[in-house]
Amino acid sequence: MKELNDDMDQLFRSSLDAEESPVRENAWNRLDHKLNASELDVYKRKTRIYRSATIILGLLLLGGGSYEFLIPARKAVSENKTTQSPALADRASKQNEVSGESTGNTPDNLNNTAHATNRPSFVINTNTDKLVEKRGTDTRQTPETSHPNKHSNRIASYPVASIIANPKTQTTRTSASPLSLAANAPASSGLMAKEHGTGTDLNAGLETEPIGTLLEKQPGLMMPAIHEESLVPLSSDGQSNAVATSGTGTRLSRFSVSLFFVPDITGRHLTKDDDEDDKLNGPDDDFSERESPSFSYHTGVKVGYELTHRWSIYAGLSYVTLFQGLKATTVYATSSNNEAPHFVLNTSGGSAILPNVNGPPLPSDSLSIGARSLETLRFIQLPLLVQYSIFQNNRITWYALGGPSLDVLVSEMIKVEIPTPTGSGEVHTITGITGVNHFNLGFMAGMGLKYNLNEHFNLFTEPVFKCLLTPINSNTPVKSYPFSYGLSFGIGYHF
Amino acid sequence: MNDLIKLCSKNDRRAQNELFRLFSPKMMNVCLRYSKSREEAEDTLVEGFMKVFDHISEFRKEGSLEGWIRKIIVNTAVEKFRKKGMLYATLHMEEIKEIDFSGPDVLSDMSADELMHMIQALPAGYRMVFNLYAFEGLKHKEIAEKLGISEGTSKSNLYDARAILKKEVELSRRQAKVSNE
Repeated sequence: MKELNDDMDQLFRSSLDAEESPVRENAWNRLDHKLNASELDVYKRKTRIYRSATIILGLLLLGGGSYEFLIPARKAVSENKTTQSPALADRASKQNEVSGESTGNTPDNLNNTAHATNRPSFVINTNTDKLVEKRGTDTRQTPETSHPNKHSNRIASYPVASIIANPKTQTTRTSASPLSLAANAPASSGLMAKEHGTGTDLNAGLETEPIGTLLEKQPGLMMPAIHEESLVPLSSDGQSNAVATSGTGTRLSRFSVSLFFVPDITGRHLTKDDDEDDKLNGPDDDFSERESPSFSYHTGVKVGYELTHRWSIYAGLSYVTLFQGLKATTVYATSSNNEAPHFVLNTSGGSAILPNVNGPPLPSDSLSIGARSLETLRFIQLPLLVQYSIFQNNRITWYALGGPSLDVLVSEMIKVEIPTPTGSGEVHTITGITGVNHFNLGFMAGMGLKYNLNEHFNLFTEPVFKCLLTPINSNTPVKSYPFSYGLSFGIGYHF
Repeated sequence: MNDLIKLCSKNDRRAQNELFRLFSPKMMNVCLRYSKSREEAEDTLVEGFMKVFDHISEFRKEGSLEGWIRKIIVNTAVEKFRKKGMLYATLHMEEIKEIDFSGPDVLSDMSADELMHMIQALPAGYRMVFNLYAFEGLKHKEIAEKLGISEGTSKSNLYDARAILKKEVELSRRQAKVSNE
């Protein structure tokens, strides 16, 4: 019985296993359609991932910046606990802030104390109505930071927590410091530490104790270092009169220049012309299925000018490359104005006449375009950006920026894979695409994080979104608006 | 062939089309054996080739490309079968067993199309087990794992499938004999 079964299996196998069955053409068409859809899914997924990464990075910057911005004092106190005397640490943790008038401590007393902690310098207000910096034996007056003060015979009273909050004030630029000194503060309250820009009185509502008294009680008390750039006069309206100074006391210019490179992923938003009858059908499915987002890049230079310590404007020049993948498709020969028929490839950007690789076509002849086709548009972009610094300290600046741009098309090109009679595909480059607008208006926005390497150089990174506000093509029923998500990397120089 | 595989892995549609034309007739035959109809077989073929193109970069050239594609096609058919659930016909096996089978020699007189139709006419579960056992050379344990059934069920399905096929072959032979007379 087993033998009979085995024989039957064997006979079925030998009769059918080597057989071939014809496959209808429809099967390949279905497979081709599915492969196209699958590729589009992959591109969409890539776009989503890139967009998500950009958003996540933006949120991380937001979170990180908020953390730095909102709780610097707490962080500084905890840092200070490890470096300051136990007495001060204890007192600081209990009181957070100390303020009051000088009762007998001279600037030198404080200066010596500062040196005992190996801090680089210590700055106080003196009888000369100047802010004086003492660094070792070198005592210099800094007229830029001087301010007339009726209450001159007084040590500046600063909230200890605020002083501690800024222990690394051997900084280079005033604009990066969170503190300034209100030299014209009322006599009753002494000179108050104020936050830059906002004029917020950090001392308000807190229990305070004069520094002199504190020093008398605690002879070994070590004070943190304060640099002159942290203690600059405020104007009567509470705004900082700060001017940018370098660590050596030289004035920094308001101008800066930056070089950047942005790898990005580009796509096109397609809309139908309102005048079209089928306007309610939404975006042109044909183009959206035949074209796919691609990785592109732009690079350039921008010049910045600081309007205030928070607001800056930038103008620049970028070289923008937009790639758009074209999937395998079939094009047909058409003729116009009694000219010889030719194959025309329509994209969402415009139309290109293909070369007659296989001889002149007849009307309605078809040609299969390979999947290695690519449309490339290159622009010179002139952006005008406004930047707002959300948070800044000596090293880090966290900012948002955005603004319009003029995008001038400088070259357009399609690389198209055309099959040869032998069956293989050849890639041809077509430099003329008709219907592309040469002048376009765009918009870009982003968020950035800048890290100051030293007083002049900085590195920055910005997740940026860029789009064209005007359609890239004209006289076509489907309007195409290129957009991109990118991550900018750059280096800046502050003059 | 290596160039073709490379191009296919780069999603070159022309190369994919060439590969499809090269292997699809043989694979269609495999799909037909696992399916009830040509339409169902075509679905399996398209789905199978989608997987082939998705994973062709993973082909290690340790065996033949045809064998690798066939494995994917069979797995696709099995997957489809498992998704649908086990469909068993309620057959009166006693009746079938009563038929006296003349022997495998009669198969040689039958065309491939006739044999294919007999396999396609089998209930889905029986067809799966018979194909995996007789054509793919799997053991009952492997079939059971693949289909998510017990080894006993696999054996029983194979037994019933063979009984049905024998009956069909015998009936076909008798009909041919009558028409000859």
